Amino acid sequence: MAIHKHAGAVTLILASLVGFGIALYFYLMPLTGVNGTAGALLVVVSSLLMVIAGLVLYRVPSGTFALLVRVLTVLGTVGTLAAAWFLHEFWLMAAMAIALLGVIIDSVSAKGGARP
Amino acid sequence: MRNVFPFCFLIAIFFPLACLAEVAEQDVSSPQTDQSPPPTPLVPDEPVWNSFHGQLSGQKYSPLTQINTSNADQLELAWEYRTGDVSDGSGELPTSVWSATPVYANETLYLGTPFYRIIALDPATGEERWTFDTKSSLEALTQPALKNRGVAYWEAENPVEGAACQKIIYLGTMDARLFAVDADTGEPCENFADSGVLDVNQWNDTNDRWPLSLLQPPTVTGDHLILGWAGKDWASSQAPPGSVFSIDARTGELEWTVNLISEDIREQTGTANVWTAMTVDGQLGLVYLPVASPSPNFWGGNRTQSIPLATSTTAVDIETGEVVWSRQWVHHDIWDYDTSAAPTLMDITVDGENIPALMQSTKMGFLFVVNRETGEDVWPIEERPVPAGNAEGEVYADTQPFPTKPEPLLDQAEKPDIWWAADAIGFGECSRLFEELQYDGMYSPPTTEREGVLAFPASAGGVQWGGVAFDPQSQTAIVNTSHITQYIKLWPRDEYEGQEGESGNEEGLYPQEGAPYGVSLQVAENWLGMPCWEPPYGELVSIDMKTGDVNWRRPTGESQKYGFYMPGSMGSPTIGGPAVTAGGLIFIGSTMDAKVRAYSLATGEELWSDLLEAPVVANPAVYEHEGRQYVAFIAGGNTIIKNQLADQIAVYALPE
Repeated sequence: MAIHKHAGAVTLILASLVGFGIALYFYLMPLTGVNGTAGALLVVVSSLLMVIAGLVLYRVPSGTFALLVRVLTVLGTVGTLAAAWFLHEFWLMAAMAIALLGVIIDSVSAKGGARP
Repeated sequence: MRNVFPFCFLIAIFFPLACLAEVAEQDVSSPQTDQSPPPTPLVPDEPVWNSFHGQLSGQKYSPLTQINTSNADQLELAWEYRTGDVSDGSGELPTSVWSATPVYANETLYLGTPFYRIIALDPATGEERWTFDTKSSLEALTQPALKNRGVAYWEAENPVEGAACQKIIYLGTMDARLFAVDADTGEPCENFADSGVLDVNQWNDTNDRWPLSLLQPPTVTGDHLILGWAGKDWASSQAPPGSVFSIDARTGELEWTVNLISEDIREQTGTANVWTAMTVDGQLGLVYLPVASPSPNFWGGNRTQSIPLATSTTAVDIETGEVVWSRQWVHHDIWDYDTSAAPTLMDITVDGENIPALMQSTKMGFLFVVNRETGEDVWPIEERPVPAGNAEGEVYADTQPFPTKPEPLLDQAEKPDIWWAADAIGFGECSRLFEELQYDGMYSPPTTEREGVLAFPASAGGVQWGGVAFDPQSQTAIVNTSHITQYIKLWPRDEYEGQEGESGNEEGLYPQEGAPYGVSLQVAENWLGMPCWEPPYGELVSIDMKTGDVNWRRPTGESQKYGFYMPGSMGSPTIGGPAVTAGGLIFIGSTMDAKVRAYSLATGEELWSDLLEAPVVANPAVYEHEGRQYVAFIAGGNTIIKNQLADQIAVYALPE
């Protein structure tokens, strides 16, 4: 199946960006139940890191470095998803699930299924 | 016989006139009647929520049914109000905790704040009607934080039209002053003590290093204010010795004092005070005092003599202050197992016999049930042998009372099981800690050895000041409990001085000056703050008071740390208590997750919840105003369960 070369990275970037926004909302807004907490701040940071990872993969889609970034991004999205579950940030969970999908797509495209 | 008729005639004419003149003079200077108000029935006919626990019985029961099991899920926020009186301790002011219940009386909702202000609100809208500021110095003189549990309300049995202070709101302060203001205007009551202010510290005449802090509103019964006070715990062997005062509600005059420690040893120890609410049986003429532990709290070598009223429920005659009966729940208390809640009065039918009963909840997780007229057991309370220790100077109690029914809320027979997740994440930290903690069963005494003694539960409870709610229709008792494992270590004085750490709220280092030992009290957790013991960490329990058996029990709330919620099946430690209604509902906050909930009284099913800004750490209030039923929660927070504080009152009702 031909996949646009950057589809995975774009998905990762957009989903993580949305996740970052959600995480920031929960951290800053009163009456979210987790506002101002270390856990909420943690997922703000981690989702931002996923955005950065997506940008890196967009610019550097292949090679050892890209592989390393993909592995870390998988761990990061899964970890953020798990943390979001404990924080009751269920929309963030959804965003991270989509971000994870983006990493998977990006991995597949990097193996040669991408359409230039 | 001389003719005495004219003389008698004059007496007959002038004597009534003299009496009328006397009455008239009383009306002008001090509008009152000599007629005593009738005793308050145990379960009022009308909805009443004019005191800390709703009613003087402590039942926390409302007969209202507008909100019930079929529509509780529709509850919505009717209004909320912010007092502005909150401090996280980061500025000049100490931390505040707000463990208050609003009082509904005089068609007004009254609040007392931890900055020692009174606020009167419209019960339907939350609109502010008036405020009164005591202008107290905001210093944590006897407590680790500024604390307040609300206000008390009194009204004259036969109010005089147009006269001031026929209805009074009272608020106590950290520095031992009791303020009385007119409930309609917020103006000080000039006839009360010194222009509306009573200095209770004038009666602090022994070991008076600290004031008698008035954090719990007085208990109002008839024209009496029954007043306890809070002391400075854990700081010194010697402290003001426990006392309870009865004060004239109109004038502030002292009527009687009950001293809870005998004269011969009062100077060498202290506390054994009443810092929480009290309950009243107006028909019997008794006020029930939940008495705290003596000082110092974790070593008793300075008080080896018997202090029979310490850590007890003590029934006192309202009119005379005479002790009628007393039951001690912890002999020679060295665990700070204060009797932390007002006993709940209940009329129950056990084996076909109608019993005027009383249920006393405790920090130990025991529920003692006795006849409130005589103090006799309803179900047997057994004296059982308990472990001894080897601390210098100690004389340990050989036995302690254990209730047979209802069953203890916590299983204290053995060390609690270790929670595998906390142990794994701590790389065996919990296992190693538990191996170093001594435990020979309930009432294992504090020790100097190894890491100390495991305490389950410890000073944090068990059950705290929220107490037990009671539904008189089904004779069901509802109580929330915490399952918290702490450990207590005694430090010889020279070793204590070298310890680093702070004194927190129910956790930390405490000097116990004058004793050969300081003490540390810690929660058993790993490096990440995860509890080392298995869940649940808090439960809501329903008890059939006809049999003493548990109807159901369930975890309540979700524990939370760093924002992360634990699964609901684990429950949450709880501070505060429930309210029950004839609509078949239990309303409660009390949990770490800052949520308020409605549960089915019959099944324990959760029917509704909402999130507030901080945990609700007292009982809610249930009232009806202009035909609409409301449930009011004060979300103030308390650092015992979580560092999340607020100044919010949230009031819920069904949509109009």
